[in-house]
Amino acid sequence: MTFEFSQGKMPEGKAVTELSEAEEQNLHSILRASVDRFLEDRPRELNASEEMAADVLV
Amino acid sequence: MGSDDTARFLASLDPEEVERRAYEEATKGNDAPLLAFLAVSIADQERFLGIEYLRLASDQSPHEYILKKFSGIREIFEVLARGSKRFAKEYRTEDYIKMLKSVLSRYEHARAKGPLSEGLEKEMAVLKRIVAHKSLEGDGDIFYDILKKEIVDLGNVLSIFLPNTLRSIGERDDTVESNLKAFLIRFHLLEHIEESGIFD
Repeated sequence: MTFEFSQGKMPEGKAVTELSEAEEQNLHSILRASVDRFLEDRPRELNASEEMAADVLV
Repeated sequence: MGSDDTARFLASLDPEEVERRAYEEATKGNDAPLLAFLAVSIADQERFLGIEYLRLASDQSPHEYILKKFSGIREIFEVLARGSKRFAKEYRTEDYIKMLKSVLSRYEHARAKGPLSEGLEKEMAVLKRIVAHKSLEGDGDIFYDILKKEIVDLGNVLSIFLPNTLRSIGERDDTVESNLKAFLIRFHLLEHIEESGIFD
């Protein structure tokens, strides 16, 4: 097996303003959890169980 | 900015305000802060997957639980990264090879300073074969680990520079932008490999 992806992959995504209502809600949940994790994780030493319990994603 | 200053600055931030501003910036076309937050979370996922003692729910294995939790982050990150006017890009083999050559050069630089561990020597050998377009049969798992390690490392770098981005939100931050681009090419290659199953 050689390493060849010469055809590439066309980007098929959406800008934030093109998201559906459900996708936007999902984004807000994910973004808030990411921000919380970033701000509370200083220094970045993990307390895994506490971090995951605080995660709003289900 | 010293670490004490950074800690004070981070402590002064309101998560709701940061979230709102990152989202609003993205709606105006500056999606770097939002993508950087998601990238840091993806790097966190990879670190969590390496924590063997993690036990969170009696009826779920740690990996199943974490994969379920974080699959949403990867999905929305991919949607937004591919739809981004600033960061969307169609990667081709030559893009990946160029990136992997830069990764390989770090190994070579480290080895010039002193002997590498056996594991790093194996990784370096795999990278050399890839950039030479040689067969990778049997080495897929090593390459996969290299990519994941790169993603974790870049997530850590992004998290270090995010405070400066938050201070100057609305302005272009070249350091975060360049590291985000580096993260994206590795993320897309990892996705590509996972989807193709060529290294299974």
